[in-house]
Amino acid sequence: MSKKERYINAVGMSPGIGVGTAYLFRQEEQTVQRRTVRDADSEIVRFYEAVQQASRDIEALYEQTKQRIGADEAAIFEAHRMMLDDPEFSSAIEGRILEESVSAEYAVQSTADQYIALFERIEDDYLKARAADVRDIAARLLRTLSGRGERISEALPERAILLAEELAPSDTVTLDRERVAGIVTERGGPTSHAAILAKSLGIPAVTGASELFANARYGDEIIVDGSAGAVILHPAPGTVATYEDRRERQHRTQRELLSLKGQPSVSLDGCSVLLCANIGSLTDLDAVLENDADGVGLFRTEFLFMERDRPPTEAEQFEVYRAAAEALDGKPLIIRTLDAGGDKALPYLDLPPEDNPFLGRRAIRLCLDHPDLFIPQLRAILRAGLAGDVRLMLPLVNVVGEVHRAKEFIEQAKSDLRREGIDFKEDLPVGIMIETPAAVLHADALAKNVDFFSIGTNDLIQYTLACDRGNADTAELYTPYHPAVLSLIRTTIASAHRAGIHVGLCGEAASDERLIPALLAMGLDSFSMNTSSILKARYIVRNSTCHRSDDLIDRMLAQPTASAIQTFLNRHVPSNRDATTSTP
Amino acid sequence: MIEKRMTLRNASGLHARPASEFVKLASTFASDIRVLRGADEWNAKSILSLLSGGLSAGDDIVLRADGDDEEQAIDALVKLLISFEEQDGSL
Repeated sequence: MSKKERYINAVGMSPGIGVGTAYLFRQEEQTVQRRTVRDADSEIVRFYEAVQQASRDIEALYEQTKQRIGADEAAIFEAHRMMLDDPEFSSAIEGRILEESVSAEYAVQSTADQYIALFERIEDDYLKARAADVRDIAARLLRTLSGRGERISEALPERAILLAEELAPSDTVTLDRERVAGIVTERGGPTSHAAILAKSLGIPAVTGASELFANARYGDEIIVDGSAGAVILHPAPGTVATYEDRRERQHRTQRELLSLKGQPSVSLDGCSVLLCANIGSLTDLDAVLENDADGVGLFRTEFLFMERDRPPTEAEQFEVYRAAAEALDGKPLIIRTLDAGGDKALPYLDLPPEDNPFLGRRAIRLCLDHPDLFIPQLRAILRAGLAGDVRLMLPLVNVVGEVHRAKEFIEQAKSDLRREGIDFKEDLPVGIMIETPAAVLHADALAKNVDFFSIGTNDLIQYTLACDRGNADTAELYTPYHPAVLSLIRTTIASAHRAGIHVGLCGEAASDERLIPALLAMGLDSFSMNTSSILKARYIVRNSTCHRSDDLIDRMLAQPTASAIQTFLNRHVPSNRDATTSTP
Repeated sequence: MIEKRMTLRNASGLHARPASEFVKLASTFASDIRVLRGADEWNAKSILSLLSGGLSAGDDIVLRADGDDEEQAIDALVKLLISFEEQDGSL
C-alpha cells in the first residue's frame, strides 16, 4: 500500500486542526436475528424495564453533558429521552412482540429500522440527522436488553484520530478530549448531533471522507483540517510541521481573543470606539452577549415582516424590541426601520414588480408611502425606547426632505401615544444610514437634521461603483478598497463630526482587518459587524493608533487602484495582526 | 372534542426545538391530541410521528383534542405555536 501523502476533500463539521494517528472506532454488531418467544407478555415486561433503565442512563448522560459542555448541547439527550418516551414508538414495539411473538430485541430493531428508513427517505438534512438519533436509541435499548450499559470507553491511544462510520451523540460526549485529536466520520452531516458536540468540545471533525476509509489503517498518520473540510493521509514530515504550527497559532489566537472579553475597545493612544453587532433576530442576542459586543449597531427588522401573510402588529413588534433592549441591559440598540420592498418582497402589500428593484421603491421610500406599515413600527420602537438605550435608524435616505417626512410621522406617532396615555421615550435618537453617493455628498445638510449616521458600505459600494455584488460577472469589481469608496467614507465622517454627531459603519468593511486601523484614523466612532468578528476587531483596535499624520489618509486615497491601497495599508497602517487568522 | 384550525407561520415549522416543546406540552394533558394536515393525522404526544410528518411553515393544520382537559390543551398549544412565530426566523 502506497504511503504517499494524500490530500482528501471532505466536509468540515467542526473547525480546527488535529494531527495524530488513525484509530478505527468499532461499531458493535447490531444485526439482530429474528427470534420467536413463547411468553410474549414477559418479553413486553423486559422491554419496558429496558426502557426505564435506558431512560435513567440517558438522564445521567444529560447531567454529565450539561456540566462538561453546556445546557444547549445537553438538550440533545433530552431529545433522546423524548424519543424513548414516545408513545407511538413503544406501542409499535409492544404490538410487534404481541402479534408476532418475537423477541424484544427484534421488535426494537425492526421498529427502529422503519423510522430510520422513513427519515432517511425525506430530503431534509435535519430529518436525516434525526435518523442517527433513532439509531443511537435503538442501539442503547439493545445493549440494555443484553445487560450492558454505556459502550465501554475504549482505551484510546494518545493523539487519536477517530475514524468511525458514524459517531453517536452518546459516544461523542464520553470521548476523552485530551486523547482525541480529531474525528473523521463517513456519514453524518454538519448538522448532526455528533458535529454539534464535537464543535462544543473543540475537537476538529470532518465527514464524508470515503476515500480515507478505503485507504486508512490503524496507526496511519492523519491530519484533520476541520475548517477547510479536508483530511491528509500519510502527511510528509514537512506537512505535519506546517499544520502543527498552524494549530499552535490558532490555539494562541483563541486564547488571546477570549482574554479580550471585558476589555474596553480603546486604541493604543486612547481613542475609544464602540464595537457593535449586526443582528437579524432575537436569537442572535445570545452571541452578542457571549462575544462581549459594546452594543447592537444594526437590528434588521425585516424578519418580523417577511414570510407571513399579514404585517406584524404594533404589539408583536413592541414585544420583540423591548426584549432586545432588555437583553442588552443598557448597551445601545439601533433599530433599523423596515428595509424591504425591491428584491425583499412583502406578499401582503401587492406591490407592482420592478425591473430594477435595487433602484426601486424600497426601504424609507416604501415606508413613507405606507404609513399603515410605518407608524405601527415607529410606535413600537418609541415604546420600547423606555426599556434601554434604543435608537431609531432610517435606511436608504437620500435627501433632507425624506428625513423631514419621516420625522413628521414620528411626531404623529408621539402625539397619538401621548393622547392614548401610553408611555414612550420622548427624545429617542433618530439617525440615518448613509448608503448612496447622493447621501454622502449631501451629508452636511443631513447631519444637521439627525442624531447620528451609520455608513452602510454594502450598498454604498454597489451604488458608487455601479456593480452588482451578487452578479458573478461583476463581483470582482466590488471592493471597499476602491479609492472612491474610501474617499466617500472619509467625507461622511468629516461631515458628521463637523455637525457634532456620532458616525458608525455597519457593513462588512467594519470587520475588515486591513481597514479597521484606517477607519480608526479617519475618526470612525463605531463599527458594527457580525458577532463572530467582534473580539478580533477589538484586538486590532487595541493594537492600533488612531492619531496619524495628517497626510497619511491623503496619501492612501491618492493610490490609483484598490490593490495599491491594500498594499499601502499593509505597509503604512499596520496593526499587530500576526496572531489573528487573516481574512481576504 | 374540540378542533382549531391554524397556519404554521414560524420559519422552522414544527421542527427541532419547537417540535420538542410542542410534544412536551401536549404530553402534560390527559386528552388525546392530534395534529391533522389534509388527510394525514399525527399523535401530538409522539415526537417521532410529528417529525416524520414534516410540518413546515405555511402548512394549514388542525389541532384536535378529545378529553376532560381538551379546552385547556387547545388553548395552551395554540398559545405555544403563536409564541414560536415571534421568536423564530431571521434574515
